Amino acid sequence: MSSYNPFNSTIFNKVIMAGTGVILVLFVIGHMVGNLQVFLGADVFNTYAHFLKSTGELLWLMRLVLLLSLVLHVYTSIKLKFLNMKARPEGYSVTSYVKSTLYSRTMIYSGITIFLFVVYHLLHFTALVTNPEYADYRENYGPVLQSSGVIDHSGNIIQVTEGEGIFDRHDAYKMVIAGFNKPIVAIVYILAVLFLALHLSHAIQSMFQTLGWSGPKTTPRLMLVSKLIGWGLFIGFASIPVSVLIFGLGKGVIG
Amino acid sequence: MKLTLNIWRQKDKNSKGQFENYNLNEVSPDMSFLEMLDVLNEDLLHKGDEPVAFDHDCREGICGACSMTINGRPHGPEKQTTTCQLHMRKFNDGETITIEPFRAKPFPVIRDLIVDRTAFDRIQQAGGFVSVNTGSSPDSNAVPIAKVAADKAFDAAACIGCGACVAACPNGAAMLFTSAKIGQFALLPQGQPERKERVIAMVKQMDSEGFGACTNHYECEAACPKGISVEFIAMMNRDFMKASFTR
Amino acid sequence: MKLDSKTPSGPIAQSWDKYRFDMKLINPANKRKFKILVVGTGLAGGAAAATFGELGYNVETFTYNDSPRRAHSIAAQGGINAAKNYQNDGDSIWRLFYDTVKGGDFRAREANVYRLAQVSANIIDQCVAQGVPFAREYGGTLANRSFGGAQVSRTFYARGQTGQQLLLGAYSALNRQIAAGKVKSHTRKEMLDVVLVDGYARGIVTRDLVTGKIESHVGDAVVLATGGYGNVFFLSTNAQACNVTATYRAYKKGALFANPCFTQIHPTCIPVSGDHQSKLTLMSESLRNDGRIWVPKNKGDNRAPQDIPEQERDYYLERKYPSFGNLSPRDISSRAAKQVCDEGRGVGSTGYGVYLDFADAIGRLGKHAIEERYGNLFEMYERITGEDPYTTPMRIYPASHYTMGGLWVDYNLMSNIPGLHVIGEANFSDHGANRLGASALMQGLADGYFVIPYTIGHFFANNPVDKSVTTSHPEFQKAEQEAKDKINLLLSINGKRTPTSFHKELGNLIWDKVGMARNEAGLKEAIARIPQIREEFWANLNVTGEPDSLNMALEKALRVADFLEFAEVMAWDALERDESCGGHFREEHQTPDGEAVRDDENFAHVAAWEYTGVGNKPTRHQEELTFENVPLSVRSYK
Repeated sequence: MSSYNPFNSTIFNKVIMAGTGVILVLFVIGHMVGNLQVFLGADVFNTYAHFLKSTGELLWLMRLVLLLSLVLHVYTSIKLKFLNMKARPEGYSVTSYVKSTLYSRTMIYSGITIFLFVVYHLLHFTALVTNPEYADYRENYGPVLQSSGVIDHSGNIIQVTEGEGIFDRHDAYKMVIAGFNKPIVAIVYILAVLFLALHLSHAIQSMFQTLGWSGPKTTPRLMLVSKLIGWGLFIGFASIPVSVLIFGLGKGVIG
Repeated sequence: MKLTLNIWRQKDKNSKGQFENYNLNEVSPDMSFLEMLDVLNEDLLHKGDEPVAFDHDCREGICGACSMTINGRPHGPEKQTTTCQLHMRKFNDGETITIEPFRAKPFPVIRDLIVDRTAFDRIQQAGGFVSVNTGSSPDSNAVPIAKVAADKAFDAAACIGCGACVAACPNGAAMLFTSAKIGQFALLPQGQPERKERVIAMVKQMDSEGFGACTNHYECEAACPKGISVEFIAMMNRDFMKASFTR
Repeated sequence: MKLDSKTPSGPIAQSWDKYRFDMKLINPANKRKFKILVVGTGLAGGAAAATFGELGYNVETFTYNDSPRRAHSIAAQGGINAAKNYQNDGDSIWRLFYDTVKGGDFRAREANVYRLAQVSANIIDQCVAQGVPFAREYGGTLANRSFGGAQVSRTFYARGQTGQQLLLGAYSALNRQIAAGKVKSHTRKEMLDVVLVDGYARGIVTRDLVTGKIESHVGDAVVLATGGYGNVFFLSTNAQACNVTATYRAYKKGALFANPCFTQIHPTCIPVSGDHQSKLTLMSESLRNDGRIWVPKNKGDNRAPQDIPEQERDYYLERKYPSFGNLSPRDISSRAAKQVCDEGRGVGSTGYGVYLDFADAIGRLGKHAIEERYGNLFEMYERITGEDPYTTPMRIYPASHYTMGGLWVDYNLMSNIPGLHVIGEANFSDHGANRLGASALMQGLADGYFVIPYTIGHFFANNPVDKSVTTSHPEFQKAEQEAKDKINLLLSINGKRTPTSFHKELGNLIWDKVGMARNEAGLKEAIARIPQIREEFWANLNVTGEPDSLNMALEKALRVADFLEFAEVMAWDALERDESCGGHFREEHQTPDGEAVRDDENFAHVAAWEYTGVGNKPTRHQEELTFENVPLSVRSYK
């Protein structure tokens, strides 16, 4: 008994999946709500983007938690997939499923697709590796009331300048519009969120079950909630590239 | 009824198996599935062949011996029905039926449709009991048990240990079986003193047998001839985590 | 041979307590020096093995199933009796004792039955402590029901699967001992012989059903808990593998077989649907609480049951037994069904069935109430027959269900072979000529948990064991060789008929001639016929495959071979017991209205048969029964 570490068990691994899943789902929901601000115009959207960047250490802490969750989630899922494959070395020649769904059985594939997309997505919109020109998308904003001062060695304020100024920030709005104006990018993005929807339709309810928060009465409801959230996210996320590509959202900014 | 049977034949644990085709021309719709196999086996014996080996015993749906996957479903297409209680009237004249053993690494095929399910016994031996010696029990009405708790414990205890949950699980997981056993004791006052040790020991044994992990497909619940709910898996997960942190 | 039952003298209520005190004990430190072989892991065997382990003995268990949990005890539906008097309805140990002796038609040993009633209460305590989820009332106390016509509610139950829940309890206790290393469990191993050394039972020979390996196992005592022989009828409610081999082999080694003609026929089974039938499914007797049993008044009335008007129906149980009606005891209800079917008034395609009609109950209580009570049974019926019992009456017919006879044992549950103990359905001891409903589980667990663990210590204390005996002893070698020879013989006949076809032929004969109603001519016919079938079996059997692999046909052939010899003992017993009692009904001995007539003058005894060679008439020994506490009386259910 003493040599056994329950933290290596299948159940604990499942709990890791569920726990990191919770973090990732919450992030994705927040991310979508943030993104939807694109419909409120360049100013609102860029203000939001600027605000996120201005949080400094907090942003990095968030990024760290998310990255860790993502890595753990993916690592554990692959580990469990191998375990599960080993548990049935010889498969059935005929299969017939009753309760499971195509997406519940393809979690690993939807998951890997989403993961690859996330990597691309980060390179595309966050690290700007695929499109370094996005860094040049700047926007002036203002006027904003600003004050500045000069402090001497002993901490006394020796000069105060009050006034208005025009400042410059990253034009995230233009980046989004420019990004989705390429049909291939938009389609990849839509497909990725489609996989996300499928993934979450199973995942959210599954999280509750793994963490032991479901019962015979709540499970059907959770399954419905799962699907609603999954497809809600799909509509939310996909609405942006669709609007850009088909309905010409923000056409003005990129000329 | 005329039927074509596509049956997995395998000489023993170490041999390679393959499907064989058999035709049956006079199947009565009133036969049970196993009686239909009896007819096939009598035919095979007459021809000097070896009968198809399959596990069976009580033939009334309670011993849990019968174990075969019929057209991709453990125990066949009927809800909450073991193979022995499945009747041929549920099939169509002229149909081809594929019969395979339960598939999972911890359930190695012994012969044809017979698999070794002693892994289940070992899971139970790891902690599926209340440590009470014969004779040392208090009067049975000394500890009242709410009807709701007793009924729910019964729902879990209804497990017949057939292994259909494992066979149906796309991951070959034994969570439904293990959780039903753990759940029965967790719901009763008699099971409380050993509750933490039990859940950890039984899950440990389950893992070491090589069963897969649950990904919440709920195929187990659908295949279970006794309709045991996956809520017991949720309960086991909770119990297991609690025990891991507080033990 | 003088049969010494070792029954204690003195007032019966103190006899077991006094006997326990008088028994010699084994020092706890010495118990581990003894090894007990337990064959069969059902309620009796599982409970015994677990308890032996707890006490400190070394135990090895053997079952032909893949797990101890699958023994046929699992199939008992109704419940288990215990004299708890929780319902305050006047039950007591004495009343359970009285009912059992009377229900057994005065052919059981009083002292054994009293002990059974006495320990019945402990069984429930033990099972509850193990976590058996018995039915409960809202207040949290245990629920009871009245069962099989008992006038008090003393039956404890766990929905329709009391047997499974009790077996799982015993199995869990067994698992605990396996984990503790006190019990070694052998699965998929079938006992083929018992081995005697210097007159003592010292071991068994088994066949590994997967590898075909013949193996010897040595111990200091052997406990047979191998169940009944109901499958001698081919069709019965028993599981497919249930067989007489273990007890019959012991009989061939000199153990006496007691009252083999006492077999119980259960009245409420689903009728045969055709030649393919492999078993009969029992429907819980509780159905008779609300269902009314009837057949058409006229022969050959083929109308649908709904089209038969009330005045043309014969509710024969209500007519013949007005006070018990549809709840009349098992043997009476069964025979009454056979009688109306023999008159040509049976229903269903085969004419062997009677209606069990819920129309009145549904009309009176509503469909919902009936669904609540019997929903799962109705579903099971529909699954098997394809008919909906809510709209069309069920068809039922009696089937062989339990065998009261078994190896003769004394008060210690030891056979006449020293060291060979027999418990549960495999022995003959407690039910006399007829078993009451919900008493089989009680007896199996009483023997396993509360009787044999004491008496086996007494045996060890009184019988020094020769520790030098190993499996290389010539007796083991001889038994192994015999087993191998027999298997090779079976495989070399290369005839035309399958083991099942012989089993069917034998079963039909026994059902017809040694079944629910027997007569001299029929029994003599059976005694003449059985050797002929046996002869053909050994000349024309077809078993394919090899001896050293999993071979279902071979397993079956080995079992059928023993049934073919055993059936003769059964027929002899039925012939010589020239009276009607309980499950044994001799047509020559009945009242004008068809009631059984006992002959206490000449047959108030146990008939124990001694083997004298295949095909020879066995020797009949008698153990006289005295009834000091329950006065002999005529059973009347009018």
